[in-house]
Amino acid sequence: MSNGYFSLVLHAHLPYVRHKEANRLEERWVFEALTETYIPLLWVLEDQPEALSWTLSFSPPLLELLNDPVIQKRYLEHLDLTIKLVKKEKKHSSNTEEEKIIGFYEERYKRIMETYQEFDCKVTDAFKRYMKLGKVNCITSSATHAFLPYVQTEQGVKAQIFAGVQTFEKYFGEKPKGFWLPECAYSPGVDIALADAGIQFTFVDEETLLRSKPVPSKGIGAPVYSPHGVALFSRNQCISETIWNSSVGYPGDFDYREFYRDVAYERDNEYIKSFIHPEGIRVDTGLKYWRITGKTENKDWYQREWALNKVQSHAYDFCHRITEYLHTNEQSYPPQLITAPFDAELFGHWWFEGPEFLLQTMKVSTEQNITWITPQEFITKHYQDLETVRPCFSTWGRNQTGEVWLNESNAWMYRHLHHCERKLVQLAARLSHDEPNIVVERYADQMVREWMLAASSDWAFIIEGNSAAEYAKSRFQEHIERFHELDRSIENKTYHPNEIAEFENQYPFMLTNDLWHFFKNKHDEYVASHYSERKADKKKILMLSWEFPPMVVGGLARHVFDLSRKLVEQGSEVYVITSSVPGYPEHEVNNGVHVYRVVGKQPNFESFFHWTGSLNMAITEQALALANKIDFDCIHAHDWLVSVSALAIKKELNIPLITTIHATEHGRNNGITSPLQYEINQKEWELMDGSDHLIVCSDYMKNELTGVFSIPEQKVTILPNGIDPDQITFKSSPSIERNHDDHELLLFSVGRLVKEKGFQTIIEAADILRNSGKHIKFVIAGKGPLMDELKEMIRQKSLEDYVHLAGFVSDEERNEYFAKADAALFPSHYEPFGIVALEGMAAGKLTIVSDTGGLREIIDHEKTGLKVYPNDPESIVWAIEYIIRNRERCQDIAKNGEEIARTVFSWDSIAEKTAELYLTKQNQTSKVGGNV
Amino acid sequence: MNLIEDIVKLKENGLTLQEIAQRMNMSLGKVQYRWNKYRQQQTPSHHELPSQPVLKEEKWTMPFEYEEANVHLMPRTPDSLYVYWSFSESTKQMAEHHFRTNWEELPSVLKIYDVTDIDFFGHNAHRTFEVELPPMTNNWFLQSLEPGRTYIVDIGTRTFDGSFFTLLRSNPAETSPALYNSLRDEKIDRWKHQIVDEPEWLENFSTYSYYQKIR
Repeated sequence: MSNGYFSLVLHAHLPYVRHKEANRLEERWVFEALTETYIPLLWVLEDQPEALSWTLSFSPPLLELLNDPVIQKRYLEHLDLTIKLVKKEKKHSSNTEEEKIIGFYEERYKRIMETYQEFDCKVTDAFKRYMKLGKVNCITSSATHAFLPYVQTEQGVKAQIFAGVQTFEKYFGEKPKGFWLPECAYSPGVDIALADAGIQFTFVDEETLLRSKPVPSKGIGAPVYSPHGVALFSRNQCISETIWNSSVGYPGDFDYREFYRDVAYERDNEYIKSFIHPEGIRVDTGLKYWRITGKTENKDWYQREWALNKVQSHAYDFCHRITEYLHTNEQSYPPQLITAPFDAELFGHWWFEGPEFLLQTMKVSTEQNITWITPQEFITKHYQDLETVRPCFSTWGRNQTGEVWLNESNAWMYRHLHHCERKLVQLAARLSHDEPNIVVERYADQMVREWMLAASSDWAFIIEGNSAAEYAKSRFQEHIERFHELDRSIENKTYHPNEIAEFENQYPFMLTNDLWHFFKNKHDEYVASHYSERKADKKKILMLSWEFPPMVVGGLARHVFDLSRKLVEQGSEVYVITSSVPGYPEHEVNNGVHVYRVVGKQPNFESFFHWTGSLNMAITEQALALANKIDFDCIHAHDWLVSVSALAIKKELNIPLITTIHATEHGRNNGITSPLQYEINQKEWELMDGSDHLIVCSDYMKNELTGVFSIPEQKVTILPNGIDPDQITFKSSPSIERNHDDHELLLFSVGRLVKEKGFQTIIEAADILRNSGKHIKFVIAGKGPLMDELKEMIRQKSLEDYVHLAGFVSDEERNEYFAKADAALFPSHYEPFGIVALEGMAAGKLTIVSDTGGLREIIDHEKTGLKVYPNDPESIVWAIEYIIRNRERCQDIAKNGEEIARTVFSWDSIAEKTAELYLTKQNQTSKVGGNV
Repeated sequence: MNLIEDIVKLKENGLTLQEIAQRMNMSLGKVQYRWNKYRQQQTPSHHELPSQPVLKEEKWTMPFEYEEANVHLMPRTPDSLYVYWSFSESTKQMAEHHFRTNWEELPSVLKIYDVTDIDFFGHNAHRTFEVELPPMTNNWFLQSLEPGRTYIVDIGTRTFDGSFFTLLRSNPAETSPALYNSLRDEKIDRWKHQIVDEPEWLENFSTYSYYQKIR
């Protein structure tokens, strides 16, 4: 009585080698396997002892081949031919030894024919019958025996597993409980799909368990659960080796039949020609008269009785080893289990006497009380006794790694397979919400089949091993190409029932419907349904800006935000792509505007210039992904920071690009001096040059573009920046104290603390005013690189009571300052537009600006505001004195300014004009021959 | 009755000439003769070209690589991984534009990050190393890696001052752990006892979504 269990598992598989035309050499693989393995295994089942069962896996391609009427007919024809040859051999032979062997084959082929016809050519029906009798437990494998860890997508893995299970169900009438992982290749995540498909157990290599985390306490002595609850039965290498190892295993015994000598190679051409390939290629007939004999080329006659005697002693030896192993490795609880999985074709095809060996082993096992168990029985008994571990990627191939299926000779295959998978997901995403079209769905199903057929692990294996490599390569390429031919027919709408029927007939593999549904994705279905509800007539604008609220560096963010929401209000759809802000969502709908915040792959790039490069890559990626579903009408880019992505997206989507140039590096620095400035200047020029149209905010900027950048005048439109008065209205109660006694006037400035804003001029003016005995208070809000320098200036001049640097202020605080101040002051040296000045005006404050850039155009001196000379403190002093002298007049000026700001510079009118510009540009581009 | 039409039909249905002969109750030789004659006739001669040319698109042939921005890292052995990649036209264009350099002149560099148990964002790997790639390379076997670690691969180029600039980033992939590596595993404990909702390890397959970036 043994203290453990033995479990035999055979895996039967052939790649799908059914060809429409007859006499393909590869089709003979099926015939040989039927003659030598599958039918003899039925004889084993017929004779095997009661109460003993084992496991047999049929791969779906093999199931399809065995149940294919054309294959069945051709196999009958092949058997007929062989029987005819046996008769001819019998007549021809003059040697008694030879006659004896021929007699053996005569009997054998008669029996093969009988067995085959007994089940009406349906071998799988025979196995199904034995399964019902409890003699064998049949399971299956992945759809085309794909090496699952090298499938890229979850959908692909699912398709392989579920379609495999479906095929099994079709032929066996029930779902399999177990699953053969092709090549015993496991990787984390495979078990999710297996569990989903109702699979309870599968098989892995010894090392899969020994490399697990943690290593199971029983080692390989018991199966384990994978994290998602599939029982993993590990191969016992030590026991398996006695059979499969070519040097120490049983099949190499000298009394066994020699595989490589066949009468096909030993007869005259004239004699044998109608029994080999019609083109004269000598292929195995299956009649092999010799035994292995020894390490010699001179082979002796095969003696059947000798071979059967060896089978007997090998079976005893094998059972002895099992008993020994179980004894040495006794364990509880559960008791020690030896799982011995093999390729089924090893028994019979490679080792001719293999089936007899199996039968004999079963008989001896019964004699010696060795307990055979199937994984299914084992789980029923011991499901509570198994540990859960986390196994890693491993296979039963060389070194238990992936190297056989992934090396210099076959690695090139995977990019094609993965490309197909992604194409299928893409197709499923589109089909799942299109109007149903039966023909297109047939195309999609056929594309799944072509991918599956290409994904068979056999091709990579054969190419690695070099035998039949040409066939494997051409089959792989054929299926990949057929996949794309089908895809192209869908794309070009040239699909036709005749064409698809032709494809289906060429390889009538797994002709079930709805295979493409495996490639659906919940999110894709959601997007497909969600986005198709949108109105088609709305203009869809892709807005690119590196800053967007809450990320506010300069005036750009506010501008893009206000313009976008106004455009939405007026009936466009706007998608803003901008940089990510920690704590803010990657996507939000803000005032109807879709905001996508993206992060570059190197968000901490030290160089700002390269940081923007990295950001641009991410912007483009996001934009092109959005374009998968959204047909954008045009792109609106803002400033050089998005230059790289704007031009790339324009080229890819072939839609007009409108760019707003808010400022230029040349203007900011009064020329280009450093290498970085030069690079930025280049980006600006490239963006201006590559855009279909440009928007600037002022005449001043237009002159800069036409002058410095030689941009043709007609390419530039002036649209002022706008303001939203609501945004600057002070609503809550005051929190900033104001004591009228301590100063005569309060002037408020706000902006980034950079040189071109001219805040240093304020400090100089404050100095002059203080020295002339006037108590004028200046508040400068904002932060920036000049902060320290300005602080130092104030300290040196002891102006702390006169000039206050407020640092960063919230919008609320800013509005409060505007409300409390007597005037707003913006003494910039360079200001393309000057939105802050508009804000000052809209807040109803007298606004003083430099007579420069865009500021000059906003204000009409002494009518809607005051102008001072840039970089001239005396001029500011003049303005202060003007206010003190003309208090009432100044109030009128402020009122006029407010009126202008709220009408001429309203976002309503600006957004309208912007939308008109989009339309004009779109029409222009489409007129030029579609601008292909 | 036209014999040859029947033969062609049966042939298209996958029958052998022998089967056809049996079915049509003819000798094999006769079928063969008809069939060969038919095939000879099928070889087009120039004057037989149809007057209306049939517009058949050129057959799609399997390319060397696809024009798409893609990089995929695959498990292989406890100390090696395999990575392949391709660029889209727009990635190439952006690199050319950003660096104002022709694509062919940009150095090609592969960077490997050890990101074991890290939520990687581009700068926080345990270790990194770079490989200068020969021109025209679109795949690489990464050797001599540490077992039981998670890696990510970037394909990129260099800035003028020598910094690595990422163009493509791969999925993470694991090298298998060494044999008998651990007797305890906290991650599987937390998973088993339902302390975590999602496994804390890499599960190989990407739930690829076509509209992934659309919300």
